[in-house]
Amino acid sequence: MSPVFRHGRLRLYLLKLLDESPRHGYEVIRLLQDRFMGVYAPSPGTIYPRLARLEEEGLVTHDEADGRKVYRITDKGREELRNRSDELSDLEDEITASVQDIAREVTQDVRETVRNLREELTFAARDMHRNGPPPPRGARPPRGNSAPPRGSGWADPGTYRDLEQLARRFSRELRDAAAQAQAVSEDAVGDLRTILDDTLDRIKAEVFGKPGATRPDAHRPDAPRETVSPEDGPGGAGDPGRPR
Amino acid sequence: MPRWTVDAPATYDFDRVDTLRVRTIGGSVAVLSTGERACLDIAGVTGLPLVVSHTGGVLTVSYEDLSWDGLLGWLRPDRTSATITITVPKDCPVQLGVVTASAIVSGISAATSVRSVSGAITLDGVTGAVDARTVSGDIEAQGLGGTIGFNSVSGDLTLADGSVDRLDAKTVSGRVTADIELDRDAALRVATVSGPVAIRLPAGTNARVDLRSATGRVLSEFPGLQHSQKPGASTLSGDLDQGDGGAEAPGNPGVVRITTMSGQVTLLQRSQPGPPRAAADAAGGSW
Repeated sequence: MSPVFRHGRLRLYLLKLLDESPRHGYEVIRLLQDRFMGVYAPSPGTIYPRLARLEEEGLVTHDEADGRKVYRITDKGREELRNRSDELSDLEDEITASVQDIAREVTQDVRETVRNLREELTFAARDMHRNGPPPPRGARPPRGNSAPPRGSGWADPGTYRDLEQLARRFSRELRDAAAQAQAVSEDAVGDLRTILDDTLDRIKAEVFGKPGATRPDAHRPDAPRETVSPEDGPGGAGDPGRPR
Repeated sequence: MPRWTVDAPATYDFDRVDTLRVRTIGGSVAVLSTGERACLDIAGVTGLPLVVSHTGGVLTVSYEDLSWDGLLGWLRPDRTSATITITVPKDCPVQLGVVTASAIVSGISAATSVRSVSGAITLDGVTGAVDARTVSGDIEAQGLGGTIGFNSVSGDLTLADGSVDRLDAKTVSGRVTADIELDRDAALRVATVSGPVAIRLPAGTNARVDLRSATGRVLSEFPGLQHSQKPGASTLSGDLDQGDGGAEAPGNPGVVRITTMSGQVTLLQRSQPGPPRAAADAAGGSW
């Protein structure tokens, strides 16, 4: 998210936009884009989960119109807006920031994305050059039967491969679940994102956060699934008993 | 002809700008797209004053006696700098030339050309024909589309999230990193002398591939490419997306050609395909 919206202020601004009038999620995104002179466009992936969270807290609610959700502020939402009116006027000053600030935001945004990408691909390339290319699809080792970890930690390519395999299996099963559900709406994707974000936070805190716990969990192929399972409501995305 | 000499912070609005040319030395230049009026903001002028002119829709920001040809021979970047920020309509062609200044272009859909000596070039959502050249600055880009030319001597070239029709990237020692999708019939050509190349394409990309390195290693995460190893040339070539049994992507295959002298080449596969292909992939049993 853009640094313009530090300290949970995007949330406040969303309430303000909905206070002006009930709106579609898409309209909210367009309005944010307008305020930034078309230069900064928050993605649906940023906005929908936040609207969902506001709704959970009872600050906004929605009606269905033509199959799309129209979000509306509640009395509780208006109260929050009133209580934070000082903060809101600060925020509006920040939003009418100079074009210089916007240019700086854009640069930071691109730089961050690009840097992450460069690290990710460099890491993947190094891994491949060290361990050789993956076997062809048919020759892939059976799932869940990965090589026993020699040593431990990130330095060990075997551990890394296990983790990689887990991540792939998860996305594969998620995709299958989505295919079975046939139509996946934008809102469902928003919900999914919220669930996955929360899950990732939990994994970070509960699996990778504890010193000493990282290694044994990281190379046991089923560990992250245990962490995921209480959360994976829709479609049994993490269901290990996937028929195939 | 409207013409100003600027040596202090200033802001100008313009009714019509349909070509933008900026030649500057140090500091920064940012060009942003806007649906509203074109606007020029100048701050932090040190050293020489800038000269701004606006004639027949052509907005020019430059220094006196600083021609395109003279730009490189005329270096006092440490003493001459300015922070220049310009908003123009998104269909306005843009030409920037900088020495050490960083250059940022965002949201332009017309032809965009950026030349730099050592300044970093940042491109965001530029979808016209993009041509970016630098000696030692890095080129960092996100969300580009259309026809892209990158050229550097030692600067790194990195491209995230683009959908590319033509990409020509050349560098001597810079790294080339790209995570992109190919449009139909797209051509992606990368050439380096010693710079390593890592390109990631979505699974299911339909393309004819030719990867070669004289002395570096060449690896692909896509299966089914033919490997050949001769003294002085290691190559991987073949067609991607041949295994999906009839589920051919429409259009002719794209072309991916990566050539390097001593750099290593890695072709990576992004495992999550785009939404239209997701169902087909799940049904076809590939991941």
